[in-house]
Amino acid sequence: MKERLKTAVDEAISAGASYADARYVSGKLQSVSMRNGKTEIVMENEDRGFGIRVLAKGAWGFASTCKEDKKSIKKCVKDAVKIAKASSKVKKENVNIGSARPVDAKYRTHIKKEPFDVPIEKKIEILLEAHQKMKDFEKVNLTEGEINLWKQTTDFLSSEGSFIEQEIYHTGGGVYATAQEGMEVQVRSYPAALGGDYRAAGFEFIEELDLAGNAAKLADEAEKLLKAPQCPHGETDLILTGSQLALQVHESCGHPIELDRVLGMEASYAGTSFLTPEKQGNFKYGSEVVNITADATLEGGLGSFGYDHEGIPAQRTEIVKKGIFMDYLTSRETASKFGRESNASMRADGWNRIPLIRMTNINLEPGDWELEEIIKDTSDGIIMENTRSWSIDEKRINFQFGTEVAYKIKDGSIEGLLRNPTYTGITPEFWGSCDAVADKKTWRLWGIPGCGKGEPMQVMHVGHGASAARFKNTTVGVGKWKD
Amino acid sequence: MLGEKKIKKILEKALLSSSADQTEVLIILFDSKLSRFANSVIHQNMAEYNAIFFTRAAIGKKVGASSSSGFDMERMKKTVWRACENARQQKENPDFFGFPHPAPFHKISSVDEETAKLSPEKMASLIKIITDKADSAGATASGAFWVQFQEMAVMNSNGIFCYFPSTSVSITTVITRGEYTGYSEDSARAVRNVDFEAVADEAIEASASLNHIAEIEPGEYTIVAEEYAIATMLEHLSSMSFTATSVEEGKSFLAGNWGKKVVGENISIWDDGFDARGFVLPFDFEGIPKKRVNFIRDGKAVGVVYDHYYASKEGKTSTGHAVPPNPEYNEPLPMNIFMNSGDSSLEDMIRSTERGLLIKRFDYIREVHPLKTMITGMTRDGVFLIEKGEKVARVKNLRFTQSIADALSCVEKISLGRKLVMGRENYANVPSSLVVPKLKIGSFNFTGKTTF
Repeated sequence: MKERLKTAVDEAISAGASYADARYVSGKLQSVSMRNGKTEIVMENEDRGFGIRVLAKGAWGFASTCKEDKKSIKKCVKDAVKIAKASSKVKKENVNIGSARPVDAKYRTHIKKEPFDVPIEKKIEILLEAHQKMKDFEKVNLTEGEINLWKQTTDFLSSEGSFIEQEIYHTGGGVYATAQEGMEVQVRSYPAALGGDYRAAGFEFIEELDLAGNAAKLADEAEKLLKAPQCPHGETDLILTGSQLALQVHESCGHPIELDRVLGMEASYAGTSFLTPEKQGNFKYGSEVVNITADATLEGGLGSFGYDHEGIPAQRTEIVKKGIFMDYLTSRETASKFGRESNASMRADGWNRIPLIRMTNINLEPGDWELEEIIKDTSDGIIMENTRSWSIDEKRINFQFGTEVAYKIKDGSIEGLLRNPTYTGITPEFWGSCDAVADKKTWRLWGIPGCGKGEPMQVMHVGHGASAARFKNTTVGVGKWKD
Repeated sequence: MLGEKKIKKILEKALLSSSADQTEVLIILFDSKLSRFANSVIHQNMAEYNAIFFTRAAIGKKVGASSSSGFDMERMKKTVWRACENARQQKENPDFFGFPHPAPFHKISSVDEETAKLSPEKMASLIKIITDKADSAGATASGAFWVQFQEMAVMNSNGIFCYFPSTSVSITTVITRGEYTGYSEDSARAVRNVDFEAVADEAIEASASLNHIAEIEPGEYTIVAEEYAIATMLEHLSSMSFTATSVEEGKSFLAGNWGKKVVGENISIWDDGFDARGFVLPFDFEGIPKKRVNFIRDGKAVGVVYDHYYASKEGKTSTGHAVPPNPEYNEPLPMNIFMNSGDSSLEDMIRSTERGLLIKRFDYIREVHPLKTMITGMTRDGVFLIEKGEKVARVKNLRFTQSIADALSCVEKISLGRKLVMGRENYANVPSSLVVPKLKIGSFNFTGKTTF
């Protein structure tokens, strides 16, 4: 494939491109899902093809094809250059991507157990065992579970002389119980909502999750939630745990630090950002206990890799340091606008998409408190767990989240369940109210396999490390709830 | 374009390679171009040539699925083989009653030749209409211009073969004037039916500040919501409530209320794949002809969509709403949604409003509680204060937390005109659409505000 990529890139340069990079990507997905004890989906997808990105006359063009013969790839290259030249008819200045050191490298996710070699019967058995543990709860009308595996191989070659081969595995899953009575429906999920939890790992991660071992607890709590008191409206101290906190970091930090958003390049769809360039290095994003990093070098993260899809090596960047906003996620083009080098945040979700600035692993660094200490220190508050709904404005300022469950805290003890919990806030005020972050003991690198961005839509796998954190005087219980 | 005959031969070969008792093959070939622009510059410009091939194989009551890209025969046969292997390793599903049998359907082609051959240069020149108008207005333009030529075909071992070629065009734009933004979009099957000048003008008008910015507090307001806002709301309502799955799972507010009033009697909502005012789709991804399905008629709960699997479970007939086999959305879904029109106009709605908000569109809607049809989201790209029947000021964007059913129970006026809005969801690149009016809603609950 290296030779074919080189031929394509050389042809692009001959056709008038000043820069070209080509990717051949081969992806495999296996999905096993269970619903009420029946395995409704056992599916595999294999997707492969060729894509080439070029700069010609100072503008970008991209073309891709599922056909791998020489003639089709040649046509694809010609199309990319033609498209770039058409783009140049509506431009104000030439695109500048700076320079990059050529790299010849390989990268592979470290796995212990090849997930695609594990028989499907074994995966079905795990999910059916979970169903058995949930099915006898009277009010639980829906049990679900899923195991998903991805493997993606990318060969990247650029006109600057880079050639990189990467093989990445992502594995994960979850189980869910839905209870219903009258006009009330409640869901509990393990290990997280929205598809479960995922890791850059092999099948050993599924075994560690112990989906069946945690299933009964879900069903029990989903039933109990049906009769729990409605989360009241008001201002209170709010503790967010693990996967919910991970999504909060994703929405209110991960997205606004994407420099393409800041520069208006996503204005037509996902939106822009409140973290405008003059804020870098001086804006109070959060309190002093808030430290956030972007780190594509972390083992096991969905946002971990060897090189991004511009051939830049994975790295760690300080995003927020003691509450002050420090840096962005960048690409070669966007970093060049500030006289800097890219920090390797460009990824495409397949051969048929251009790379965009995507989150890597965006982590709330652990703090000094034990979670139990935070709870004990809270005289009147609520602890919320597992995302149920999420929404944020296009600049990433006003947000509202709903969770599966909340627990009332009174005088340092957990008192009881609350149903339909929601909370809302304004990003810098919210993070400014953070006064306690839990330590490494409860810190976990969560995997979110469904981050959407771009037109056409790209779905990226990203990681977020988080433990738990407390936020003072947060508005909870949003909306009019009729019983 | 490969054409019906060639595609039929390809699918026949793939089908014959199966060792299963029953097999289904589905192929979607497309030539898709998308030019994105931001700050009045084309900054991303892409073309994709692809074929997505799906197959399901049934061995007794054990069903496996597989998919792949490309249409070389070796790859397709391997995909069929994989589906058979997945079926072999599956457990029996007692609710599986086989793949569907052929039903007559009306052959349609929705191909516009000019659109199918649209060049990158021509696409750039059409975008320039919008960017030039934005420049003249002292604004910048962002947006996306999408053009696709597609062939879709389904075949199964029970004798089904359906083929449908189509072209699709969509333009969206956000105009930015200082702090203020305005939105517009247009979609059609043929590029000549898209008015780029009108799209630019509408978004530029919506980006106006009116030289008066009003600070308003969250609370309940009368709203005049344009078609983009209504379309987004209805898309969420349909996935929450209008499917056989949502009824079975106890999540649909229609369930248990058949024939009863669930929203205002001036509201009717349905799905119709054959109505040419939407993006026509004559059959679903199992090859079953689309049927019109009334979800709500004159305010009363009537029905939901089915695919063959869910219909068979309940002893019913599929309504032709299967989607491609996919772990993410394994349920029947509406793709051609319509709401009734009324007799009002935007001017009439504004004139009749003592105090309220004119809203261009909603953004980032998420479902807070499906059975209560409660959603949360933001306004975006054009919110104006109406006082004493006039648009008087620009307003900063607001967050709402609102039950859709409650909102549809207090609709005071419905516009005569309706607009075709492209759906946010597409299934294997096959677009969905909504045809909806503007609505004046008596009470809408805003629970927060943002700083812009």
